[in-house]
Amino acid sequence: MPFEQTGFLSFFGMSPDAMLVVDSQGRIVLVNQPAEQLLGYSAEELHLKPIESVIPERYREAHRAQRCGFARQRKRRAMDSGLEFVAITREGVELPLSISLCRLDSGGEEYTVATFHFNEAESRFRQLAENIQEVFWLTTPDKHEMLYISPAYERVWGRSCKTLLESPSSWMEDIIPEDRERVMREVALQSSGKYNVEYRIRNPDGKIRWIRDRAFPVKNKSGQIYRIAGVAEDVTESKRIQSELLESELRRKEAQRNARIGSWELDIASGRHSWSEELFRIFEMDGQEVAPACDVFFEMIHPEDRDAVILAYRRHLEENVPYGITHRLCMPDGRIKHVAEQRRIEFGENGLAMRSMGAIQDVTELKRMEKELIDRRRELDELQKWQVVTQTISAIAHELNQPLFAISAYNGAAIRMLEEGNSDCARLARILESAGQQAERAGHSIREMLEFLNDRDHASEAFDLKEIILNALSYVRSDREANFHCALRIEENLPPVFASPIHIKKVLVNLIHNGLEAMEEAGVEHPSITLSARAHPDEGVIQVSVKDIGPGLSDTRKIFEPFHTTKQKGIGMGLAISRSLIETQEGNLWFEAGLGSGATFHFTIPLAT
Amino acid sequence: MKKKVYVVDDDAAVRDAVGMLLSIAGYEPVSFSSPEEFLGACSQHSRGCAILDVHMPFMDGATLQQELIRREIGLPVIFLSAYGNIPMTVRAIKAGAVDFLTKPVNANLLLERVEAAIEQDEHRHVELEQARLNSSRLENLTDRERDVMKLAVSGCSNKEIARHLGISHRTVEIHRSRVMQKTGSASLLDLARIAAEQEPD
Repeated sequence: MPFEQTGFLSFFGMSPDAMLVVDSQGRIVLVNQPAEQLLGYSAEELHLKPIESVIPERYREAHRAQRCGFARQRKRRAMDSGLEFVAITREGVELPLSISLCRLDSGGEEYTVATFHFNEAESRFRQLAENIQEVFWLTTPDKHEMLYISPAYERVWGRSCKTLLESPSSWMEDIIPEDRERVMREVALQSSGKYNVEYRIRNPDGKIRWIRDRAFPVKNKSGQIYRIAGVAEDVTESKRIQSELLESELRRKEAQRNARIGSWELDIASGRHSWSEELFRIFEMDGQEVAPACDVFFEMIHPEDRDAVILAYRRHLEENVPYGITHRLCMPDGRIKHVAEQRRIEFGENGLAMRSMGAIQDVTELKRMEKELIDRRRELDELQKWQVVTQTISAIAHELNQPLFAISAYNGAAIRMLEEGNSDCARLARILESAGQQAERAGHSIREMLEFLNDRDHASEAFDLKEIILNALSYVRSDREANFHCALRIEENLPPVFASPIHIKKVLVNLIHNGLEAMEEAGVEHPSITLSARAHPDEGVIQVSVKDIGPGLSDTRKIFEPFHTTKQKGIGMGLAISRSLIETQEGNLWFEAGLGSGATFHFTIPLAT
Repeated sequence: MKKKVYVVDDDAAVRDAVGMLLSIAGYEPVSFSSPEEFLGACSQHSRGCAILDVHMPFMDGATLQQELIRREIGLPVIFLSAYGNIPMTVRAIKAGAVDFLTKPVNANLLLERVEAAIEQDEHRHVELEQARLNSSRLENLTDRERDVMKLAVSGCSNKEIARHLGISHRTVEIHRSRVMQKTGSASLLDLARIAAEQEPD
């Protein structure tokens, strides 16, 4: 063994520091026990292996080059100490170490002895550096040498660490042109510790990243800066979130402006009010001139609303309860604004009321539209009422004129008989009797019309439909001599409906009458009416159906027109009125012609909510 | 013979009362509860008049009137309406209705209008009869007589007719007297009227 005569071996074996001896070809020839422990290899395993075997892949090339250069110098001197060196253990853990190198000649051969100084703090730092998202870097103060770069660089910059180690300023090449000059200026500040810049880089794949880069000078014992350490962070995501936040804040402001919502806040401890821009806009005040205060606001409130608002506000503060109130504001020029106001208390961590937060919305336009809508609806209602009235009057005209005309004709016939001395008493009696019946018919029509008109103002209410159906049925039964069969198909537990019960009864009576008369005229032997009712909760209605077993409806074109009757004696209202009644209750009335099987009339009534 | 009055109304009481009034006034009422029944019962040769209710199921009065015109049933029509309006009235009268009355109609007024309508029907009948007669008279003419008549009523003298047809003056005279005789015309003016009525072209 070449080292024996120098006593080196005993020193080598005794050293507490990990040591390696490498020959001129860079092969490991000796490994002491601490080095075995440090690297996790046995001396035999490392014997004659290139020194790069214990260096992480990315540093190998650079190391080899450096080693060869070193070998060429052939100087017999203690070489640098405190050199940065990263070793990799058998398990793949990277160890940041500092090493001292010295040359040893033995048996005509040149060897290098490397002593590792294991720096635990630095090692921890390194381990951290290697494993976190941020890019750690370490350079010489003159920036000529990149001493360390953490693997995150490869991920963030998309370039290998090796390229940066070889070309220490290559990281700047990726900075986008707009930012590059600024960063280059700032780099001069690195030694001062004030370097804190954000810039964008373009990755080889074209992706743009936002980088936040900071630097800290590292001083040696004598107070001189000998290293610069830095952290470069990929802040693309937080930039994005930031800009989104900014945007959403802008949007919120915009939305508030569009919705005319102003916000205000009272800090309870200090009694300080703050009003948003939009609030000033609603109040038509200049935020520069007017200081937010309760009284300023109270004075604006319409005198008729003021007390109520003040009361609500005081109660809100005294009892810490939220409130919502719609009131009017009087503008200096006499205009009235409608505002909807809401306030709530925000409590601190100690549970005490901290702030009173409020929003106020200018609802003048909404109010105006609402009023317009109500007016429109009223107009429509009027129109609809007018339509019903017109139809009713037409129906009256028809229902009265028929019997009146018949009476007039009978009367004329009787007079003529008497004038001519016609003494056919039986015939005369028949004429007069018929005239009397027609007078009664007219009277009946008038009664019905009056009843109908009186009923028109009956208010809607929630009621049980089944009861009304049974009621209508018994009314028809008592009113009519003819016997008929009635099948009831009423769903169990029908929810209550909201309508005028008298109108619904009228419609039911009318439809049952219609069916009965149709069957009577067609000579149906066993007349039968089917009444069914079932709920359609999805549509919020109950559907009622009245079916007969008559001939059905052969011509349905004008069925809902006034005077459209196929019957000898109408009850005076007809389907037109029934439909008007149902439509004023916000329901629909329609039919199935049912030719040959019997007509069915359906109508819907809204459910009570 | 009693004059027929067709009553079309869907109201049984109206049919009965009007029928009663008409029969006592000496007419022969024929009642129908629907326009279809009425159309099925009358023809071009029907005489009398018709009282139609304007408002009837399935076919209103105006539609019925159009149908009568289409079928060339020339019965004078009196419309009755429970509520009249001016456009409806104008339309009915323009389409040839004799009258448009609003219910309730005074019985005497109705009878007056029925009488007037019957008279109109009589008049219409006479005209029809005359036209039928004229046409049958012309039918008896020979082709040569027809030629002579055409030229005569257009104002040609016998000489001109003779020259035009290439026959003798004497022959024209004979044809002409036969034409006068066959058509029963007393004068050239009479002949001209008959010829014009029958051959408007």
